Amino acid sequence: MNRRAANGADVTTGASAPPLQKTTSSSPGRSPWISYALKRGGGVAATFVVAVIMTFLIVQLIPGDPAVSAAGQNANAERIEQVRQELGLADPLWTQFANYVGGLFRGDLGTSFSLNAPVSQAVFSRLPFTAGLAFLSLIVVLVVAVPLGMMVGIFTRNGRRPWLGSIFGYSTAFFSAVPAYVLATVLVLVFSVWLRVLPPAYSPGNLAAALVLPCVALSIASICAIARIVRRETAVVLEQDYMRTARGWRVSPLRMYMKYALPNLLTTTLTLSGIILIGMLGGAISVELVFNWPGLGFGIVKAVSMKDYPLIQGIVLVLAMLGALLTLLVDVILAIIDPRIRA
Amino acid sequence: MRKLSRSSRAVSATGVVLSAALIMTACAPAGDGGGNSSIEGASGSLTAWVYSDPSGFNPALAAGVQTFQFDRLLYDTVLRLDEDGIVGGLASDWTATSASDYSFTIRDDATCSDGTPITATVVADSLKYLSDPDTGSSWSALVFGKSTPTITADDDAATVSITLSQPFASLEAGLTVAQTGIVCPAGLADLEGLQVGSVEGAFSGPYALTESNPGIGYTLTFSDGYSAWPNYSSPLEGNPAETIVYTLGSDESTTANQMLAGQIDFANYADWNTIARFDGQDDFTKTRITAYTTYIVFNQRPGHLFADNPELREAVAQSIDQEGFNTVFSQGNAELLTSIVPGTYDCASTDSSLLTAYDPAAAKKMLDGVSGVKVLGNTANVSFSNGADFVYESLTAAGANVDITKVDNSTYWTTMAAGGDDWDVTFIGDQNAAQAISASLDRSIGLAVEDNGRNFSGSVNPEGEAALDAGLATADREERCELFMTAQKSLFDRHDVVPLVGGSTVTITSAKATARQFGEDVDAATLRLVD
Repeated sequence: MNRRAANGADVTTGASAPPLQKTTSSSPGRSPWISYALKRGGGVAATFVVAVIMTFLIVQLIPGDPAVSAAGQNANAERIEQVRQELGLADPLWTQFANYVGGLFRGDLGTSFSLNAPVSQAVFSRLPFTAGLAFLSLIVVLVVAVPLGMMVGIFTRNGRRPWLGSIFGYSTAFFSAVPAYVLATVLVLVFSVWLRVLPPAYSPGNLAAALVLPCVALSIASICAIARIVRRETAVVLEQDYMRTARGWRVSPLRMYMKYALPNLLTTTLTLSGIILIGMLGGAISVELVFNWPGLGFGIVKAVSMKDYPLIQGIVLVLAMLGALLTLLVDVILAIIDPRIRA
Repeated sequence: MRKLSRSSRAVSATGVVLSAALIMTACAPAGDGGGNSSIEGASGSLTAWVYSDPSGFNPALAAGVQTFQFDRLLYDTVLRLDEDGIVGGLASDWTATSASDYSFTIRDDATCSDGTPITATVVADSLKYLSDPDTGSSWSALVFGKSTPTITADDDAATVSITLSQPFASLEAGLTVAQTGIVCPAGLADLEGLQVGSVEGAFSGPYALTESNPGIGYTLTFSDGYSAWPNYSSPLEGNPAETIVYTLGSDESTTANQMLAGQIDFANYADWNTIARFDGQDDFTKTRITAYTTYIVFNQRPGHLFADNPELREAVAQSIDQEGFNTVFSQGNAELLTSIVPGTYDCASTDSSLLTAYDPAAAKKMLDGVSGVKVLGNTANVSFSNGADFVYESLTAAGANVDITKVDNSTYWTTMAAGGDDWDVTFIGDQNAAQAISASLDRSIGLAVEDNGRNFSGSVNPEGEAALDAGLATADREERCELFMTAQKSLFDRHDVVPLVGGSTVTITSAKATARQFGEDVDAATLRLVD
């Protein structure tokens, strides 16, 4: 069922759109935002509790003694035991958990065994690298994939230019299947080793240039996936009645696509973007290793090899909360766009 | 109230995303571009690479080779290695009247990074801290052996005297180790700050830590007015850099990319595939060292398969082809060992005839049908993992029923440090920081690790132990070498160890940098800029 939006377009939200529902809050006179915020906030809090418990328990399963890692290969038994006492590892498990949770409430994530620095310092110094890379990659995805998918959808509408459709289909299928770390390696080989036009890894004196290759490596697969979806959505939207009406009004093509087609594509695209961004946080781990990018992924690999329990817990907890908050952000954005979602 | 249109809401939403991205990107630390300096004798910047963060900045508690590199730059030691032996570091001269009594004359031109003069008292206080059992330093034994030292200072005479309760002839070698670096009074007054590197006046070496971003990088800055360079047999080339910027990386291939692109000037590599990328590259200098040695040890604790069974140990030695191991471990690039230390070490045996020859037929006679052999492997890197597989295959080919457990580096050393029941045979990578044979002999002779010793195998070797102790008790080098040779022979005759190969690493410097090799170590404090 269509309804007319403020811009005169019929509102349809794609194949996955929920059925139209009356927008009312559960309590008369109560803003629907409050109910929505309470429901979503409760979800985030539950995620936090589960993440705290899971991160504490999982690291206990890692074989090996972190006191040996911290004390070093040359340490004797006495020194190792001394280190074990200093790190609180000799305490019973429930005591360690209570100390851990108590520290969290004080904003203290503990002290890293391997860095001898507060975990919060280690995590939040790395977080901008990972989050910045993921966010910028997402922007690249949106800026490239949406116009690309739209253009291909427009040019191949109703079976036109089948050769373009084939090239687009096969190439996007290929690149969306190639793992990010493989792409990263190829990019380094071509642009850094052969052509020498971009730095091969993190370079503190040349951060902008050093960001290019990791960003490209992380975004290519998502660009292909999003572009394919946008192309399909474009084909559906272009066949809608309101588009025929716009063509009948002799609206210019650019205005027609930007004002009438694009908004109807964005809901699905933004929904997927949130999921993709969360996936990018995970994908950033392998990309960070290829580029020596000092983010959370790089840090957690080191932390696991060193059996640095507090740092592992801190990074996993922050990543889990970041994922939950990003999901919340996406839901809020979607609720802004489509009030029906708040119902 | 005007409602936002769908397109306006979409734009608003997109704006939220963009703003968040820009904020996150802006929060990323800006780079340190380095810079030129007008400090006399030091200028420019060098970039170096380490595999991971240092364990801390208290040299007495250092763990990991990356930490040793930092310690070498930040702290001076009493003595230093030179191309043909030992030279004075903070000591301009020294005497050893016996293996228990030493006296060091401290130079008068050394200062801490805060300008505090480095006197005999400063040196003595740091050594006392190192030797204090409450400090818990793993490196104290490299300097003082099993004894309790008495350390006294005479500032008027500028001398530090060390008297040991038990003789220890390797004290001089121990005092060259970076982990025994002299900590200045400001550092000893704030041990917590010292460990995290926040005490500005703690450093006695040519550099001070001026920027510390754990997980990201570190900057060391040349200490203004530093002049306490050792009197090397040949002078160092070039000039010290004003700043050395350390970056971190977990992947040698990426680091090689950075080096080839000009981003890194000094790095150490262990992967021969990566090292091969620098073949034919005339702009880079490669220095190969034997950073550690590999040899097979057996768990000889009571109740284990190889305890009190030298014939079975001999069979294992006969089943291992040293050259085949070399191929698997390092593509044939490593040094074949004739002892448990490289042949360049003082008093090391270089007689390969003392070792058990490869004899698969003889090995099969003893090992065929032997069951329950537990091989412990370390997956620290590809070489170690491949080496463990080679040992497994060799024993299996000899007819033994073998179980192999391969674990990560941390778990491996946990198991070894505990003594334990989880293994029968393994090959270890032995890093000898002091480059003194005694520090490797006690890995297979003497007290077991679970008894606060260093012997991984738990073997009981009275002849070897007596020879080692006697060697450490004499100041006479010839006598010492004879005794250490006796200890080595005891290991070979008892088949307590099976020497394999030296673990080579290659230090590569760019065209604008140079560093000096002393023995089996490239001294980071000699890293300099050249024209």
